[in-house]
Amino acid sequence: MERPEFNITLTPAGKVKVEIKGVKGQRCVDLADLLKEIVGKEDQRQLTADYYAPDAKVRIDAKVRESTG
Amino acid sequence: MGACLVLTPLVIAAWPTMMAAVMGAAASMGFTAVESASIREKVPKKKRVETDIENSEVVAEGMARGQKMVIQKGDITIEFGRDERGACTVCVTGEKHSDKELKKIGEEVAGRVVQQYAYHKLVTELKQRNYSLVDEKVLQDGSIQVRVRL
Repeated sequence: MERPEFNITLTPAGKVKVEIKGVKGQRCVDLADLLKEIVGKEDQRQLTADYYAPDAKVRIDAKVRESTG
Repeated sequence: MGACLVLTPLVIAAWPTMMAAVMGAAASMGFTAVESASIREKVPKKKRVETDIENSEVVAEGMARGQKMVIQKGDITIEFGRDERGACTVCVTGEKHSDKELKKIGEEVAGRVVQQYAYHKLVTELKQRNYSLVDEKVLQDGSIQVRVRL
Protein backbone atom coordinates (compact mmCIF):
# COMPACT_ATOMS: atom_id res chain seq x y z
CA MET A 1 0.00 0.00 0.00
CA GLU A 2 1.22 3.51 -0.82
CA ARG A 3 2.39 5.65 2.05
CA PRO A 4 0.09 8.62 2.68
CA GLU A 5 1.63 11.69 1.10
CA PHE A 6 1.06 14.78 -1.04
CA ASN A 7 2.94 15.44 -4.26
CA ILE A 8 2.71 19.18 -4.83
CA THR A 9 3.77 20.85 -8.07
CA LEU A 10 3.94 24.65 -8.19
CA THR A 11 4.12 25.75 -11.81
CA PRO A 12 5.95 28.89 -13.00
CA ALA A 13 2.59 30.23 -14.14
CA GLY A 14 1.43 30.27 -10.52
CA LYS A 15 -0.81 27.18 -10.41
CA VAL A 16 -0.64 24.53 -7.70
CA LYS A 17 -1.29 20.88 -8.57
CA VAL A 18 -1.62 18.34 -5.79
CA GLU A 19 -1.79 14.57 -5.85
CA ILE A 20 -2.98 13.00 -2.62
CA LYS A 21 -1.72 9.44 -2.41
CA GLY A 22 -2.29 6.55 -0.06
CA VAL A 23 -5.27 8.13 1.67
CA LYS A 24 -8.74 6.68 1.54
CA GLY A 25 -12.29 7.79 2.11
CA GLN A 26 -13.31 10.92 3.98
CA ARG A 27 -9.77 11.65 5.14
CA CYS A 28 -8.87 12.27 1.51
CA VAL A 29 -11.61 14.89 1.24
CA ASP A 30 -10.51 16.49 4.51
CA LEU A 31 -6.93 16.80 3.25
CA ALA A 32 -8.09 18.26 -0.05
CA ASP A 33 -10.15 20.83 1.87
CA LEU A 34 -7.13 21.68 4.01
CA LEU A 35 -4.95 22.33 0.97
CA LYS A 36 -7.64 24.47 -0.60
CA GLU A 37 -7.86 26.48 2.62
CA ILE A 38 -4.09 27.04 2.65
CA VAL A 39 -3.64 27.91 -1.02
CA GLY A 40 -6.85 29.77 -1.84
CA LYS A 41 -9.08 28.80 -4.72
CA GLU A 42 -9.92 25.36 -6.08
CA ASP A 43 -10.12 25.09 -9.86
CA GLN A 44 -10.53 21.36 -10.14
CA ARG A 45 -10.87 18.31 -7.92
CA GLN A 46 -10.83 14.72 -9.08
CA LEU A 47 -11.39 11.90 -6.61
CA THR A 48 -9.73 8.69 -7.65
CA ALA A 49 -10.36 5.04 -6.86
CA ASP A 50 -8.70 5.16 -3.45
CA TYR A 51 -11.23 7.71 -2.19
CA TYR A 52 -14.00 5.17 -2.69
CA ALA A 53 -12.13 2.40 -0.92
CA PRO A 54 -13.29 1.75 2.65
CA ASP A 55 -11.32 3.68 5.22
CA ALA A 56 -12.17 1.50 8.20
CA LYS A 57 -11.29 -2.10 8.80
CA VAL A 58 -14.21 -4.47 8.39
CA ARG A 59 -14.49 -7.66 10.42
CA ILE A 60 -16.72 -10.40 9.22
CA ASP A 61 -17.91 -13.00 11.68
CA ALA A 62 -19.38 -16.03 10.01
CA LYS A 63 -21.24 -18.73 11.81
CA VAL A 64 -22.37 -21.93 10.34
CA ARG A 65 -25.53 -23.27 11.87
CA GLU A 66 -25.93 -26.95 11.79
CA SER A 67 -29.42 -27.94 10.77
CA THR A 68 -31.15 -30.64 12.81
CA GLY A 69 -33.71 -33.02 11.62
CA MET B 1 -3.91 7.72 -5.39
CA GLY B 2 -6.81 9.42 -3.56
CA ALA B 3 -7.37 12.75 -5.27
CA CYS B 4 -5.94 15.26 -7.71
CA LEU B 5 -6.46 18.98 -7.20
CA VAL B 6 -5.66 22.09 -9.18
CA LEU B 7 -5.56 25.24 -7.07
CA THR B 8 -5.07 28.94 -7.75
CA PRO B 9 -3.25 30.79 -4.98
CA LEU B 10 -4.91 33.81 -3.41
CA VAL B 11 -2.00 36.12 -2.72
CA ILE B 12 -3.01 38.12 0.33
CA ALA B 13 0.02 39.42 2.13
CA ALA B 14 1.74 42.31 3.80
CA TRP B 15 4.25 44.25 1.69
CA PRO B 16 7.36 42.62 3.27
CA THR B 17 5.98 39.18 2.39
CA MET B 18 5.31 40.33 -1.18
CA MET B 19 8.84 41.68 -1.41
CA ALA B 20 10.23 38.34 -0.29
CA ALA B 21 8.21 36.58 -3.01
CA VAL B 22 9.42 39.13 -5.58
CA MET B 23 13.02 38.56 -4.53
CA GLY B 24 12.60 34.80 -4.89
CA ALA B 25 11.08 35.21 -8.35
CA ALA B 26 13.76 37.69 -9.36
CA ALA B 27 16.55 35.34 -8.32
CA SER B 28 15.04 32.43 -10.27
CA MET B 29 14.82 34.57 -13.43
CA GLY B 30 18.19 36.31 -13.23
CA PHE B 31 16.89 39.72 -12.12
CA THR B 32 18.51 41.82 -9.43
CA ALA B 33 16.90 44.27 -7.02
CA VAL B 34 17.79 47.91 -7.52
CA GLU B 35 17.17 51.16 -5.67
CA SER B 36 13.97 52.62 -7.07
CA ALA B 37 15.21 56.21 -6.85
CA SER B 38 18.16 55.54 -9.15
CA ILE B 39 15.96 53.80 -11.70
CA ARG B 40 13.42 56.59 -11.89
CA GLU B 41 16.06 58.92 -13.32
CA LYS B 42 17.21 56.51 -16.06
CA VAL B 43 14.04 54.89 -17.38
CA PRO B 44 12.15 56.94 -19.95
CA LYS B 45 8.39 57.10 -19.60
CA LYS B 46 7.57 55.44 -22.90
CA LYS B 47 7.47 51.66 -23.52
CA ARG B 48 5.74 50.75 -20.28
CA VAL B 49 3.35 47.86 -19.95
CA GLU B 50 1.34 47.64 -16.77
CA THR B 51 -0.56 44.72 -15.34
CA ASP B 52 -1.39 43.35 -11.92
CA ILE B 53 -1.09 40.02 -10.18
CA GLU B 54 -4.48 38.31 -10.34
CA ASN B 55 -6.13 37.33 -7.06
CA SER B 56 -3.68 39.48 -5.12
CA GLU B 57 -4.15 41.87 -2.25
CA VAL B 58 -1.34 43.72 -0.55
CA VAL B 59 -2.11 44.83 2.97
CA ALA B 60 -1.37 48.55 3.17
CA GLU B 61 -0.35 48.54 6.81
CA GLY B 62 3.39 49.03 7.14
CA MET B 63 3.76 50.15 3.55
CA ALA B 64 4.81 53.71 2.76
CA ARG B 65 2.66 55.62 0.25
CA GLY B 66 3.95 55.07 -3.28
CA GLN B 67 6.47 52.51 -2.12
CA LYS B 68 7.72 50.26 -4.89
CA MET B 69 10.12 47.43 -5.37
CA VAL B 70 12.24 47.40 -8.52
CA ILE B 71 14.14 44.58 -10.19
CA GLN B 72 16.25 44.77 -13.32
CA LYS B 73 17.88 42.55 -15.95
CA GLY B 74 19.63 44.12 -18.92
CA ASP B 75 17.35 46.84 -20.26
CA ILE B 76 14.23 45.35 -18.61
CA THR B 77 13.03 47.07 -15.45
CA ILE B 78 10.07 45.83 -13.44
CA GLU B 79 8.38 47.85 -10.72
CA PHE B 80 6.08 46.23 -8.18
CA GLY B 81 3.62 48.36 -6.27
CA ARG B 82 0.10 48.51 -4.94
CA ASP B 83 -2.93 50.12 -6.56
CA GLU B 84 -5.94 51.77 -4.86
CA ARG B 85 -7.84 48.47 -4.78
CA GLY B 86 -4.92 46.77 -3.03
CA ALA B 87 -3.84 44.60 -5.95
CA CYS B 88 -0.14 44.11 -6.56
CA THR B 89 0.83 45.99 -9.73
CA VAL B 90 3.57 45.02 -12.16
CA CYS B 91 5.02 47.66 -14.49
CA VAL B 92 7.51 46.50 -17.11
CA THR B 93 9.72 48.86 -19.10
CA GLY B 94 12.35 48.04 -21.72
CA GLU B 95 13.47 50.09 -24.70
CA LYS B 96 14.64 47.14 -26.80
CA HIS B 97 11.41 45.14 -26.54
CA SER B 98 7.98 45.39 -28.09
CA ASP B 99 4.87 45.92 -25.96
CA LYS B 100 3.89 42.30 -26.58
CA GLU B 101 7.27 41.08 -25.33
CA LEU B 102 7.10 43.32 -22.27
CA LYS B 103 3.61 42.04 -21.48
CA LYS B 104 4.81 38.45 -21.75
CA ILE B 105 7.75 39.18 -19.43
CA GLY B 106 5.40 40.82 -16.95
CA GLU B 107 3.11 37.78 -16.96
CA GLU B 108 6.03 35.39 -16.49
CA VAL B 109 7.39 37.36 -13.57
CA ALA B 110 3.93 37.67 -12.01
CA GLY B 111 3.53 33.88 -12.28
CA ARG B 112 6.86 33.32 -10.58
CA VAL B 113 5.97 35.72 -7.76
CA VAL B 114 2.76 33.76 -7.15
CA GLN B 115 4.76 30.52 -7.28
CA GLN B 116 7.18 31.78 -4.63
CA TYR B 117 4.40 33.06 -2.41
CA ALA B 118 2.43 29.80 -2.65
CA TYR B 119 5.54 27.71 -2.01
CA HIS B 120 6.43 29.54 1.19
CA LYS B 121 2.84 29.57 2.40
CA LEU B 122 2.40 25.83 1.81
CA VAL B 123 5.71 24.83 3.36
CA THR B 124 5.11 27.00 6.44
CA GLU B 125 1.54 25.86 7.00
CA LEU B 126 2.27 22.16 6.44
CA LYS B 127 5.27 22.24 8.80
CA GLN B 128 3.12 23.91 11.46
CA ARG B 129 0.74 20.97 11.12
CA ASN B 130 3.63 18.53 11.63
CA TYR B 131 3.77 17.21 8.10
CA SER B 132 7.25 16.23 6.87
CA LEU B 133 8.84 17.56 3.69
CA VAL B 134 10.71 14.56 2.38
CA ASP B 135 11.80 15.78 -1.03
CA GLU B 136 12.00 19.00 -3.00
CA LYS B 137 13.26 19.74 -6.50
CA VAL B 138 13.08 22.30 -9.27
CA LEU B 139 12.13 20.83 -12.63
CA GLN B 140 13.51 21.88 -15.99
CA ASP B 141 10.43 23.95 -16.82
CA GLY B 142 10.81 25.93 -13.60
CA SER B 143 8.14 24.06 -11.62
CA ILE B 144 8.85 23.38 -7.95
CA GLN B 145 7.95 19.87 -6.85
CA VAL B 146 7.54 19.06 -3.18
CA ARG B 147 6.77 15.71 -1.58
CA VAL B 148 5.12 15.83 1.82
CA ARG B 149 4.56 12.85 4.05
CA LEU B 150 1.52 12.75 6.31
